[in-house]
Amino acid sequence: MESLANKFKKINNNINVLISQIKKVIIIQLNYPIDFVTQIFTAVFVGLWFVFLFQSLSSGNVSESSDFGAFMVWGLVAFFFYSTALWSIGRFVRREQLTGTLESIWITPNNKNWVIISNGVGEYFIFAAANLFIITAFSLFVKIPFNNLGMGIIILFLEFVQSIGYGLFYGALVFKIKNANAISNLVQFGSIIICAVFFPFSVFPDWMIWISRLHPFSWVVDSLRSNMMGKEPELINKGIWGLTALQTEIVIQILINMALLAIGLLLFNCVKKKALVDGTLSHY
Amino acid sequence: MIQIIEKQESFSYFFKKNLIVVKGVFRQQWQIAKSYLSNTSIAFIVPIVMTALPLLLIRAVGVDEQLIAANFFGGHSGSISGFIAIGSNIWMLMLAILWDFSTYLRDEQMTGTLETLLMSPAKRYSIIAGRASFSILFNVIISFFATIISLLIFARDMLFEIGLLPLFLLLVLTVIGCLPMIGLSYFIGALVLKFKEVYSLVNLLQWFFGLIMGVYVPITSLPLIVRVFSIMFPATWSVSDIRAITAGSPPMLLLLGIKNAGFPILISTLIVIGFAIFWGIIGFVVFSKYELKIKRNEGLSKY
Amino acid sequence: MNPVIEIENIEKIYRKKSRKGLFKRELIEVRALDNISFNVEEGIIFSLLGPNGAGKTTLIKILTTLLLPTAGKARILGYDVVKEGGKIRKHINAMLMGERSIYWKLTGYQNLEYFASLYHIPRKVAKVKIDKLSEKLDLSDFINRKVETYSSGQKFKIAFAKSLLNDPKLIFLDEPTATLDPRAAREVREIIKQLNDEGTTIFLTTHNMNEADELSDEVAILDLGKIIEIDTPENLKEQIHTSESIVIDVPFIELRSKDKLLSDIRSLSFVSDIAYSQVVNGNGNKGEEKTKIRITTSKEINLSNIVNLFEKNSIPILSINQEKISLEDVFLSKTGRLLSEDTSKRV
Repeated sequence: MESLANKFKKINNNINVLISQIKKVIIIQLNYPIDFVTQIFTAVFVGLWFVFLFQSLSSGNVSESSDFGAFMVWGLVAFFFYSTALWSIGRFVRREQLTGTLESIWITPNNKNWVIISNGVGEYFIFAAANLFIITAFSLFVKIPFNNLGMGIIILFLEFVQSIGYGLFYGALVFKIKNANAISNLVQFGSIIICAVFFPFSVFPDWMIWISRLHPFSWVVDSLRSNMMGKEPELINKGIWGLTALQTEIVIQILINMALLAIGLLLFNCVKKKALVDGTLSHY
Repeated sequence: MIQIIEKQESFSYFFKKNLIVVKGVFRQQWQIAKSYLSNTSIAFIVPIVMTALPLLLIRAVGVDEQLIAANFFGGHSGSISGFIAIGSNIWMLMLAILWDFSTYLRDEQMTGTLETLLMSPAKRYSIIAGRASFSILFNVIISFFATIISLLIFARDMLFEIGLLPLFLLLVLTVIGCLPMIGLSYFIGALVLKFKEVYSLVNLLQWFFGLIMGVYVPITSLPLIVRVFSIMFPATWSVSDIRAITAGSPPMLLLLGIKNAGFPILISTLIVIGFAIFWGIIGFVVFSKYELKIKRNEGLSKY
Repeated sequence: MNPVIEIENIEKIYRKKSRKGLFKRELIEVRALDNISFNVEEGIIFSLLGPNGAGKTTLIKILTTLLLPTAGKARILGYDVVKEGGKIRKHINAMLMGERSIYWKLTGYQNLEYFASLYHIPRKVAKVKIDKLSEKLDLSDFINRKVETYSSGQKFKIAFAKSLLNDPKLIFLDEPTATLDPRAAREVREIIKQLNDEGTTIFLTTHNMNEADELSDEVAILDLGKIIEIDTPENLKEQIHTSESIVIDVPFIELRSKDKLLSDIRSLSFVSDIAYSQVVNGNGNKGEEKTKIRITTSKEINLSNIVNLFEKNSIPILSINQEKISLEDVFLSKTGRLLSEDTSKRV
């Protein structure tokens, strides 16, 4: 049996690892400020893509919603976190492989999952700051509703947990096929459409909304947007067990997150183990 | 003191010498590409999905395709699916080259082989030529087949209407369109040697390039400020002309409002070649400048 | 006299901006090479000996045209390293980052074939050349496997073969045996000797004094960016008027008790030089650290006097060895430190 003191020591060690990784990420980011700036501009460009596409299409017959700006900003905020998550863990693994430091991290007496998640958390802090910047920038042009900020933060926290799950999936992919840029682009791009990041779900026909519901990120987009804009969610019409529709969406997210994290960890560990067996940890 | 007597080099010797480098680099690139084959299969799938997404969106939103076509082709009749399929395929091709060349120096630096490369007497331009010829051949072949497949899926009618000559022209214009992208990407790669963070910068640029070259929409529907960038970006010219040949949209010169140009496609192809020379020189000069700067201070193996 | 390398007052200063707080930046200057001048004659094995951080790699990079000096001149085979790099590169070769200088995704053969093309060697000629190198360096067992499956020694051999592809007149080897096991290191030293017998001038850096002693015709000792001494190994050793030194291993000693012990030893009449270094074993656990004390003596040694001093200071002795005078003692007598010390922080 592990003594209580040992357990505390372990927790303390893990917190130290977390702090040191966050510190490392922040120091690296401060040394390469361009990374931070490019992330912001990437989000802006991706946003513009869809503004233009939507405009060209809507010169046909789509009635432009007056909430379009708000739809876009909250969609973008959610997407930005999602995109960061897709990059952060995979990029961490790949960068350490290329510089040959992955093995030196591996031989430290820490829980590897924790080291990798800590890195993700570190990147996350940085990009949360970038997100604030985007919201501020857009608020200069569009009126952005802040209906329920407290609930908004809870939803963003749930997204954060979800994103670790994605990060682990992507990290596993990097281990497996090394250069996963193309896949990451594909997933990001596909998600923009499937999860209706820049427009309401209501433009989709029913069968398309069903596809959206299968993508965990759709729930983040929908709940964040409906909460911040004070509208009814679009993915479900009414709540269950006496909960409101929004609360039900949050419960669904919690369940999805648990599943994602579990599968992500399992997959990542499988691939990692295989890399250890094959001796391909430092291959690039 | 020791003195080495250098042989005078004849032109044919000089040519042969550099050809050895070009062939050597080409072969090495092929051997490396073979170890990342799973990426190649994705290269086929991505442009098809990228074509599918906006088309699905259009269908999902339920806009009248005829109406959009009128918007897109300025009164001409054409295939909107073909327009988007070609747009996303050429965009993907440009991105492949962008990634190939802008990450090239940085990757060599990180894996430690950049010093070995720069210590050899091989001229930089012959190394680049070897890499470029492989990159173009490899990516154009993939892009060509991906285009055919996406047309087969989304714009079958258009594909069967294209004659052999336009198909051949599509191939030629695609290859020529890659040339300026190599210089441009090399320039970006050299900049990155200074700023180090290549991946996020290229990630940014790929969206920016897609935005200005009008992957899904005609550049005429973009705001003026964006259009200025579009005109300066060589791939905009290539993609517009390829669309003109195959999908029936107006060629680049017509999009710019120049109506009475005699051979609009020939003229814009010459402009693309001009871009290639321009960016080639810029890329080379900037790289040499940074190489010198890095050599003066920290050395090439630092990252 | 035919110098293949002529170095005149070479200086290298690294300037780096370091962040102090969020916005402030401070310019840090590091003088890696300080006014260095010497020549290397054709056909010899020349070793640059110095501890880690002495500036060896900086110098080798300047000579291989990968780094520009801040001041001074250097000529390789008569060509200026700054202005005529292209001409120099044709006739020299180098092995700098060892196993990281080759492509892990290619086989050994593909690597050599690729680098041959960069030296303008036609494919057919390259094949013959690679076959010969394969035989000479015993590569045939693994040359057709991907480099990522190699052992360190095998990677090293391919990197080494790569540096022989263009039959260089002058070859630079940066710490060629640093990552190799003793057997592989011995093999490499044999190859280096053989290569030199065939007429190639060899310039190598090392912090292994035995290697420098065994191989070199001439040795330069570099410390904190300065050349301290340059001569044949024999002459260097003769400068120290003793024939022996003793090396004593003790458990890790705290700073205070160490100073006391060293001054006690120094007071013995037969001791001419003394130095110590903390040796860290494999996994770096504190308990496994030990302290190595090296004493050079000028006269007949009285071992019991020394042992008594250790007893008096209550420091147990792990081992005690008498050694013949080596380049380590030369370095010790000139700098007061051991070669195994890392001086990169002092520069």
